[in-house]
Amino acid sequence: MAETADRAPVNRVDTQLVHAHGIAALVTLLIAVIFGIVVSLQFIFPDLTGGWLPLGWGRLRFAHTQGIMLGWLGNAFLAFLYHAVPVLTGYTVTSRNLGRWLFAIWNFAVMAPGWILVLSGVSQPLEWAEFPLVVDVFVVIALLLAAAQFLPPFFKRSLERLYVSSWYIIGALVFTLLAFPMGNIVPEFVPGAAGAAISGLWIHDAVGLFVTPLALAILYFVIPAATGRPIYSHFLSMLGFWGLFFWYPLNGTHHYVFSVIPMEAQLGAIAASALLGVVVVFVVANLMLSQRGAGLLPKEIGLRFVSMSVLFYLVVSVQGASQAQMALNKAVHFTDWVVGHSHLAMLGFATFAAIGGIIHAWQRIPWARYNGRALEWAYWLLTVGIWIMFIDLTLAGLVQAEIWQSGAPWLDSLRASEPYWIVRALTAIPVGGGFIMLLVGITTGPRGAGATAVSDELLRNPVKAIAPERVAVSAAVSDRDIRPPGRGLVMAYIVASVAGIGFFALSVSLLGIWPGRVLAEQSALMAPDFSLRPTDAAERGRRIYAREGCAYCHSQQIRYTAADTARFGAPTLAWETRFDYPHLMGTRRIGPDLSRASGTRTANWHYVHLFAPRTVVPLSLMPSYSSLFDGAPDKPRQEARDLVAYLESLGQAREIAWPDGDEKARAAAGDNKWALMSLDAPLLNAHTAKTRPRGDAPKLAKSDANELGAQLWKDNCAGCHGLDGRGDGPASAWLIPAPTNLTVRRYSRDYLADVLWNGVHNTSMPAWRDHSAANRAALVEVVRNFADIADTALPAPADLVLGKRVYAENCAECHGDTGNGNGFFAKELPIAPTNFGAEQPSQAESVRVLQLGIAGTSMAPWTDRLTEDEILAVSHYVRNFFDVSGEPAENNR
Amino acid sequence: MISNFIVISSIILALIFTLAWLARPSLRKRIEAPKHFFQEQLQQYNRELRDTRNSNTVPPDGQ
Repeated sequence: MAETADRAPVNRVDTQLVHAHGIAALVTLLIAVIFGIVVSLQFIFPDLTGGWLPLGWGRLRFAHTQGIMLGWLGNAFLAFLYHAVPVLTGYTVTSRNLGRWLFAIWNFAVMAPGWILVLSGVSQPLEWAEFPLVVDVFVVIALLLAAAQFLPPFFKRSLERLYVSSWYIIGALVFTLLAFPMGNIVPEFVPGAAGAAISGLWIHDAVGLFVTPLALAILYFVIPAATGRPIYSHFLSMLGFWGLFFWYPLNGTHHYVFSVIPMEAQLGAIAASALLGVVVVFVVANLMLSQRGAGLLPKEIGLRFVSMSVLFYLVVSVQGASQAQMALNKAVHFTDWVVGHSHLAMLGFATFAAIGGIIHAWQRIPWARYNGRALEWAYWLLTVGIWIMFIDLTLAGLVQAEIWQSGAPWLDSLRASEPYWIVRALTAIPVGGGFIMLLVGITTGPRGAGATAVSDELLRNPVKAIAPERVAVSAAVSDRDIRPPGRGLVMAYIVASVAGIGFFALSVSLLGIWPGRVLAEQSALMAPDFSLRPTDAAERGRRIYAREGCAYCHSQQIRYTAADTARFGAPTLAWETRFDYPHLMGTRRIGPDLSRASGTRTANWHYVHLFAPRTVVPLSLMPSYSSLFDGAPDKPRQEARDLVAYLESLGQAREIAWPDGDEKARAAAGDNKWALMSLDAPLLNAHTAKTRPRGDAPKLAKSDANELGAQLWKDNCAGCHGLDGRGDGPASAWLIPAPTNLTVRRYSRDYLADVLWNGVHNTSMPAWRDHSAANRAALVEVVRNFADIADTALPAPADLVLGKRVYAENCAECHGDTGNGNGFFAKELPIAPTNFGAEQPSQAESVRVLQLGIAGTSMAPWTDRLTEDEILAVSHYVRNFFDVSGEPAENNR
Repeated sequence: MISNFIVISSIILALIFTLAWLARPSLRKRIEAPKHFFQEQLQQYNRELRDTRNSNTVPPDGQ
């Protein structure tokens, strides 16, 4: 039980627990940062971890964010609470034994198993909630223990003596206890967009109701303690407290602006975000005014960290309020802008506050080692590193936003981001170095040196040390001004608790439960009558997709924006996500959205892409998932098959429902302009790589952009067709049908324009519609220049006669009487027969194809049905179909 | 509807706080009191820390 206030405050602080959590904080921080560094390096070296799944990008990403939030900040906050609560209340925390249990559970039942499980593939794909449910149970137990440990001392004090830090501590402990189970457990049982609405609340509650209140508790604690002067205005601080606890929980849906979540909820969150920004300006003004006299760069190192934290808080909050607004959100959502924002929040604002709190407590542990010089290094390294990282990611986000809005090829955004990702990875040097120096700072140096770092003058007469105009406490206020404890006090606690918990309930009702009901109604009304549930294989694949963090690079929500509709197709309707437990809507796009992945690529392409991504997409950043195969893409294990089955199922239900199945949806949509935007979209699947029937391609003029063409070829085509167009690129051995050898064929310009525009259906040759006409024209010339068939021997007239007969008897039913690939049987074939009017193989190639066939197509070998003479004759004959108009005369043989 | 509710309730809350601040001088004094009490607690803590810091540089369990 908590002891009375008789003990001296110094002895009421359990320095052992401060020390234990402080060390644990730094150790978990360094581990989490190592995860983050590897993740950042994988943007530059995607195969850094060799395709070994436990060190795959997604799993490390899960471990990184959970490590920062729960391991580092959780331990740091607990360390600070063991110091602050006795000072704030005059009472010890509940029990040292309880503290030992809390320490053990937090680090050995949450952090260690959480990381091990996540890296082993047991996780949940929810932002800031990646540890699996079994670990979540222990987090809740730990939060209950924390509440039992730290709350009772506060309830022994008069409410009206409760300093703002105390309010924040109470608020954080109570609200996190409510918000954590909601955000971590509920989305597992609420499907799709409705689950995302809850998940969105937690994304913001994790920052706004756990991290921010405890960070602000530190700022409000350390600033007056270090300056020796009360904060500028307690009124403003309380205004900030109630404002933050009212508006923060109402922000959550701003993570899903332009999604299918009801616009009313989105607008509410956007309004709350703007108001929150206003409140933060008041909070920051108060905190800055409270530091007056300490200088822009306070001498005291703990205060200096706290001071920078305040600045970070201002920037990150104004940025957050801005990026929630639709005009900006439309562009920067899913980009590195948001990643910069979250790093500034967690590694800037919260981390600097936590460091300030730890240093402050450390300086007051008489037996703790303390190395002030190392802490100075830590400050400068971290300040420089975090600012560079933030600015770099913000700029990267703007660049990505510009490219995405322009409709330029997706890979352009990867190429443009590369320099920024290199800089971000390089910030690992100052940031990692800073954290190492921080650990050095609190584990080396003489014992008790921290106490001497706090000037004798400050300890003796804190107010005079910095602020000569001290206002005597007794003169400022007396006990007569304070309502006496008693029934009024109890009532005040009840009112405050009801108000606080009411805010939380309000946010969950308005932005979680209500949108969920609306979405459920929409699903029921708009879903097609048939129920296209995922197959068992697709369901298993979905779990692999979730486990490997695919949703952290590929969103599954086509937003209700012009740019998304043009690039990916009709915006996602609520019913499309109704089988997603939990949702995989995503918060970042490094790769393209996959809502309509079905029918966009062949299974064969997916296998090759998963096994060796850069063989088919040379600029791809995707890590290799070669562990899902037995050594080659043509030897997929069951997990690879399941994953591809899942990818091929994405968007399939809507595809089948479209366009007839949407009549019911259209009737239900009424005048809902957002639903109509989806139903009236020009294309259900606008994915640029999706193959389409030939015939509607824009004509391309002759291009002389040779350098552009060569670069485009290298970046986009060489992986399959090879640098020289011989069809021998790195992926060629695995693709069925194999990539075409372009040196033994010549093509008409219009035909190539068509292939680039529409792709070749049921092959790995995608459409390249996202490339400009200039790009496609340049590529057409590259392909035409590969052709080297001028030395083909001319046929004898008799050969042509024989060839004509053989062709009519054996080939015309597919290739058509005129060789245009439009024989009566052509439509039945999965891959269209060659159009000899637009494609002329060399005679040798013609013979080769007739002898060997083309694997993966309907073109079989003819050696068992045709004689050598017949093969030779028909090989000459088909070449005559080629339309030579517009071709250079020297090639017309 | 939700956004209207949020904005209107925010305005009402801001008005209540502002009017209370303007109309009740005693409230101003009372609401600022905790920061002074906290400062007293810090001073007391610092005094005791100064008195004890040189007498104990070994962790309680001799780590």
